[in-house]
Amino acid sequence: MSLSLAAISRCLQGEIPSILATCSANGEPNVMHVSQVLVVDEHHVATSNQFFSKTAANLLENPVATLLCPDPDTGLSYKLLVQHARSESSGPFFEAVRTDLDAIATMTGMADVFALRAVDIFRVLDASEVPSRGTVQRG
Amino acid sequence: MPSTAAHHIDDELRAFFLGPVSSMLGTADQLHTPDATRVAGIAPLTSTRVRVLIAADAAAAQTNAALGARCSLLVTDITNYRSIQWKGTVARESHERTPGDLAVMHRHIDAFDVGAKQVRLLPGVVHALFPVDVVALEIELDSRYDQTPGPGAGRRVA
Repeated sequence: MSLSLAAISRCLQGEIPSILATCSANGEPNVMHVSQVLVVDEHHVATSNQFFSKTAANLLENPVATLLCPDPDTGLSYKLLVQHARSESSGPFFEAVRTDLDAIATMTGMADVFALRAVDIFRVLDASEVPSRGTVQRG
Repeated sequence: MPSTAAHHIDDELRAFFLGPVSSMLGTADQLHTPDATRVAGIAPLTSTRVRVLIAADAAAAQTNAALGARCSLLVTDITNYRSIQWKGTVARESHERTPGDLAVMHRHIDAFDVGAKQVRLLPGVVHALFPVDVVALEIELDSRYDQTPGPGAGRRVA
């Protein structure tokens, strides 16, 4: 990985929704917002699976995905190439994510529509910064 | 099966494009590795074709978006989460932007900026979300899905 997850942890707190791109076995991409991307350990992240059945179907067919995560402080975005490892629908990690998500749902007035189905765990294969106007200004 | 007969972009959706929207282009390479890149402007050309502006340095998206490649376009109003995803085919590969494209890009960013204030994004963040320069590509849309958060998310609507 060109960037560590610790270096971009600020992007993974759900203030600006991240994007999850998947692709079906026949090559059709699908793009979804995800409420939160969480760091599991130095090589894994997790996303909350709330309503994206097409994404789940794609991940069964093709486990490779891309996450686009904006930093809410700078606007800089980071791209994570990930591989789906497993889904969890119970247990301590799932419950912790549900607690966080409930807080986000309450803050955004969407408590009635944010129902956590599962937490998807991904192995991070690569992480890189997306060039932007902010990159140029900063440089 | 995608429907090529349905008209997917009506006046209401044209207005939607002009609002405070965040838009993403999804593409995939020949190994079906998906990529997402931020769209910096959308201009409907017909009821089923759009001209889309992406970063000039979005190498993966530009390579993936070969003529005839499948792609997706997700458009979300950042003030109310209304989200629509279109699926379609690349009808014209990435090419140099025109002065008109620049006008579309600035209009897109200005509208996003208005919405960003409403949702209290930090000042300066909007500027950094968008690319330094853009190229254009065209997509022929053939299906549309409601992806507004909720139980109906993912429902095909056209």
